[in-house]
Amino acid sequence: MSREKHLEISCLKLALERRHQRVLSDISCTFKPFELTAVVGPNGAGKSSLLQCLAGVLMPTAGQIELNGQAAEQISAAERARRGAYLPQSETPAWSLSSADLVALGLLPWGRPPDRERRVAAALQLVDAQQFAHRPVTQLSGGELRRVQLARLLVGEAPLLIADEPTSALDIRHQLQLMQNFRRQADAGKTVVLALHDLPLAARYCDRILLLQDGKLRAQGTPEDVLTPALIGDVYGVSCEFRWRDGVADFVPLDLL
Amino acid sequence: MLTRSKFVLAILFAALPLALIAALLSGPVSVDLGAALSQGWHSDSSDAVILWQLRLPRALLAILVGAALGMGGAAMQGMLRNPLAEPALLGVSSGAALAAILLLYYGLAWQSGWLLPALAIFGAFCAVACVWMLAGRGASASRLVLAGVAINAFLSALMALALNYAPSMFAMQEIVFWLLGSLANRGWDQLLLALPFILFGGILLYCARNYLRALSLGEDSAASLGFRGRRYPLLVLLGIASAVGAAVAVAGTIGFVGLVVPHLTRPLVKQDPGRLLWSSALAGALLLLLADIVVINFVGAQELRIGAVTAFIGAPFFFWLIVSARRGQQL
Amino acid sequence: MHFASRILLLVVLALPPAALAQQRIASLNLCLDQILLRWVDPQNIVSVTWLSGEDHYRRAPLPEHVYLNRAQAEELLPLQPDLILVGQFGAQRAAQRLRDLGLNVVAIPDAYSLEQLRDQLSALETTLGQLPPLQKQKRQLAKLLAAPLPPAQASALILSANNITYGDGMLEHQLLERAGFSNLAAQQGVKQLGRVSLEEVVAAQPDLLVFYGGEKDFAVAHLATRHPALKNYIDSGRIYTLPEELGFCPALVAAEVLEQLTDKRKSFVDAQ
Repeated sequence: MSREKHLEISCLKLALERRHQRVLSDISCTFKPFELTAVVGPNGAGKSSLLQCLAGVLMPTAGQIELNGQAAEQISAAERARRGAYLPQSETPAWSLSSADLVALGLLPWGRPPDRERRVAAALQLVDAQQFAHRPVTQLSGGELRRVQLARLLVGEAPLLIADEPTSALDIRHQLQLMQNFRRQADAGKTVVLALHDLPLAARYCDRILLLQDGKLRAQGTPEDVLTPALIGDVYGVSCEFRWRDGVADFVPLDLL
Repeated sequence: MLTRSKFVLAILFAALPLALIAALLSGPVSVDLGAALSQGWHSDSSDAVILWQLRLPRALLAILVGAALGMGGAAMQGMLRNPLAEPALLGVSSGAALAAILLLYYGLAWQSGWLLPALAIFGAFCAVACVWMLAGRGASASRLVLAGVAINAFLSALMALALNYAPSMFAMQEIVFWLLGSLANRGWDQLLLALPFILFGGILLYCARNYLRALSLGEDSAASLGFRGRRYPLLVLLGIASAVGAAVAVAGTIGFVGLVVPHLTRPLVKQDPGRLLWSSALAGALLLLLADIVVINFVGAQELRIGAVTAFIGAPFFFWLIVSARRGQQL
Repeated sequence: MHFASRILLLVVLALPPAALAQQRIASLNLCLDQILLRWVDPQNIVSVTWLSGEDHYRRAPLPEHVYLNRAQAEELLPLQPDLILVGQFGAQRAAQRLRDLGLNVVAIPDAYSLEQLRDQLSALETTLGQLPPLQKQKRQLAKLLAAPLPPAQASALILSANNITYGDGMLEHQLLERAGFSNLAAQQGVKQLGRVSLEEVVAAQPDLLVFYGGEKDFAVAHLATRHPALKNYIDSGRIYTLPEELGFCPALVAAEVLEQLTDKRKSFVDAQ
């Protein structure tokens, strides 16, 4: 299989039903290389479902997903795993694996590559986690575990990276560290899709924002276009204020509407 | 740490042939092993018959059944992401035993060929699929054990009912046999009956080793790593059913091997669910062979049941699990 | 069918009319059931236990009028039996209740040895009268007991269900000895019942391996007798299967078994 360095993934009229309930409907969007995209929206808007469809964990009920113009259903699960890596919202390891072994699981779509150990070490280095490579993951703090999981996401060097709420339960420092890491990945040519709750964080680091509401795509575009008080007020039901300073948004929620 | 666990694994590996020799040496009759060996397979002398027709198949069957149960336990724990999963505890063995009982007591005899293990495997498959579906995605330990205990209790009741209505005159005793297992009076025919199915199950589980590895991150992550769809769980379910079902068909339900063995060997393989499969098979074979040596050397009016021996090892182990869980360690 | 019933009529007419004092006999014991069904005119039997109706024990179709009881006093009362036979053990409460109600209940001793068998047959004779088959069996038995014990010329070992063997003090042991076999289990000090593993069977190398009957159906208990290690014995015909009746009612078959075992021993001696 040819290894593409860049991957463009697009959804066409995507719809998803789970237990006879519409979770997603009529979503059309495109994620491009070199772009860091944030999927935002209130709880239950369908962010996680959209990400799972993109990662190939869930099969859409209708519509199509294309990877570099190729229909997703024509691509085998293993090949798709080689093209895109996914980190779910909460991923609790069942066994007390060492950090290095957990990261190595990210290489499973490639079988057992001979340069495994080098790549694992490099991925751990990338997230600044090499010092606990041999520590069991059950003994790591929440921030440390997230970093190890991020290394697991990056180790395969897949052109598409998808992470669901990667910053949740992290302190401010680790949040920034994590987002900078994703920013660097996007700058290096990856297609990065993140579900985020933290709107200022999304505004600061992301190139594009998708705003979901009740399973529908409410708006997409640059942070300045999407994160307007009118739209946020409508979708979240809060009044707020955005003050933009050098591309950094100062977000002040005021009150419930 | 790494070298130490490799050392322990090497010791386990070396202990297996030693235990095999010990098993060949133990029995109610003292046998000249050297003479029996040199007389060879076809000899009619009683020493040779005892060695080649009685002790060797029994010891090899202990190894085979132990390996199947250990591997089945490791696969089940990996698949359900839960260290409490065990084929006998969760009704898989009972499913196989029920099918075997229905066939043996109401239909064909022991020598009836491959129908017996095939049906036992079907019974085990139904039971393990029930547990898997009842417990569902990412089930908690309590829900899993509850589902398993419920299925196990129901199947055990059906077994007792079937045996009570069976034409056998020994109903009560036969129930005990199937629930506690035994390797007594087994010969090459039973060994050859179980062998292909246990090997087949082992191969299936070996093919699913990377799925089990991916599953240690959860079902969603496993799907994103390329292990999507029903194919992989089906592979594991069929592998467990094949190995455990064939083992139960010839030896009854022997509990706790599938629980204890993966726990003991997990630290030795750095918690890797893939390598745990073969290390559990090795340790399970050794454990059951040692348990059978205890059974053979036990002096009593009635034969000691091998399931009772493994329960003696397994039940205290369960206590230890509970205590260590209460101390806040990860279960 | 017509012909058969005419034969039956002839047989019934041929029986001495005064042989039976009782007209309505009931039994609360499996062995006594079998004795009644085989030796007594079916018209005189009103009830036997339900076990005799089971396929496992039934040798011939039961007469339709015979009631299958479960040893309950209230089942037997309406049948108005003039004789109720009970064994030494079992159904004792029902027997006591029936006795209290003034019915004629007679306990027949069980038989676990040839001597007890003789006593059992005598007790049956006093109760039931001089039945020809009973007297024949009794005569045969007396002859056997009077004859001196033959010297043991071959060895034998019994392998029954669940690896049970029969040693000194058992009827099966006596039959083997009277047939000229030495019972290897008794020689190894087994009293009454003992366990024998397959290994011990193979190591003991008996001339004759004796199984117990009733293994048509599968049971793990019979696994040892099906083990390939014993194939030699089966192929060379060095086995004998004791009839199942010997276990629960030796009076019916003891003499016959002894005869067959003696023939078996003679064939071994001839072969040597």
